[in-house]
Amino acid sequence: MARRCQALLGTYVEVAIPDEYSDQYISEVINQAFKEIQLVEQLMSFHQPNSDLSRINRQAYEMDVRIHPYTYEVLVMARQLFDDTSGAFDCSIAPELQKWGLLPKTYELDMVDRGTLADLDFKVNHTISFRKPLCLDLGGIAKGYAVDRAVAALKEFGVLRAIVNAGGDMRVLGQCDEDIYIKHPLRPDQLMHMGKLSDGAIATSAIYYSKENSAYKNQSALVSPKTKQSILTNQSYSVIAKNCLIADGLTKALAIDQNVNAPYFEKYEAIGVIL
Amino acid sequence: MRWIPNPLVANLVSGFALTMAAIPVVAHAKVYLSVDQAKKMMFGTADMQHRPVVLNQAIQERMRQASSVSHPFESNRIWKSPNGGWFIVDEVVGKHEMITYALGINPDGSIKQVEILEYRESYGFEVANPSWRQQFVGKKVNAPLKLNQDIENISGATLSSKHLTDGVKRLMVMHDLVLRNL
Repeated sequence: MARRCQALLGTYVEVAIPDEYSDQYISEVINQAFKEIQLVEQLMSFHQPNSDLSRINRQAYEMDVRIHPYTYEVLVMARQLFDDTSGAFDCSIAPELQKWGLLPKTYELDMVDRGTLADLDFKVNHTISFRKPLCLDLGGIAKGYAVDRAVAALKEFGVLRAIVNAGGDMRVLGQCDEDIYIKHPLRPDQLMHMGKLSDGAIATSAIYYSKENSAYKNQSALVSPKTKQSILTNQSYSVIAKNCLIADGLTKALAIDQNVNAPYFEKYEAIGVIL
Repeated sequence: MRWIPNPLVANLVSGFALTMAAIPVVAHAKVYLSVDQAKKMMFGTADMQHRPVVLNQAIQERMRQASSVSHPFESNRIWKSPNGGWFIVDEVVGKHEMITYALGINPDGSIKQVEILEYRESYGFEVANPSWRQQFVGKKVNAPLKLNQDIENISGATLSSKHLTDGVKRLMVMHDLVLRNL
């Protein structure tokens, strides 16, 4: 496989395709995959003031906001995961992450009237609005979506086998039985062989690195939507699913519910693993 | 989707997994691109003018202040492209990782591309041991460390790319102070 790596989505993203093409073609195809990831990053960044996400956080309570079809698709899926997991997956917990210093305090939210993802209205022409004040963070799902877009771009070039790995959120294209390893949650110098994956995705959420940067030292970026407390276990939560957005989103629900037999795993034909 | 679980994971009871067999990883390395491949990819040719520079103390200090990177910069890995752009190779040294990357700069001084050339990860005793890092110094891309290179697909423990962003920042400062005028 020909492999390349760029720093995107705040981590290192690796794209691998078979090296049976010319160098120039490989570079062109992989560049296109990186471009898609860059686009998703630009649209859904919490930090960039002109991203779709920043625009809706600023304006969607006051007016209809038209967004890129990709952002719209992610929000539709976020809402669906919110409904299917009975709110265990919820990307409206940005105010807690802001309070704990894990996100910049760009917006002050009216906490009294604060809504949930159920208050997100979808309209025609990729337009959305909030029925109640909301502040969204797509950090729990956009990385998975970016991986999916990159794989879609590779497919458009006729690539039949590929791996896209964005810091552990990974998708395998093709029937190739790729060996998948997972970092041991307590001993990151050790890997566990999880199994072999074809045509699917795996994502892992854990708190290994969330604690250090937080002003509130004992908080993590995994937040329970119901109690608004952060999840502080030494476990890691992995989900294997048909695409990376679902895998990524369901790791958060798994961390909250701590239940590998939750009904949503069956609905999404996904497998949850707690280590 | 086809998932063939490791038999030890298949009947997983939460908590039980911690006792399952784990592979200790002393270090693993990946090579993505050689210096010449990266030059070609960014500027269409590997035929570039080698332009090592000498950085005085004041410039080094400006680079450090702008980026908070204190790892010394090897200023002999700089090339100029036929069209007036620049190609620079540098390293990022994190707590557990060492990353060699290439920065391409357009003739107008904007960033053209950043590509990771090599990625090496290590844990435990060797990180505290200076000889572990020493072994990478002056290492050529075509002679990578062959340590567990077959371990490719690792999930979990996302590595932040902030160090790389800082590294690029200091190279851009150097470009502004030195290369721009060459």
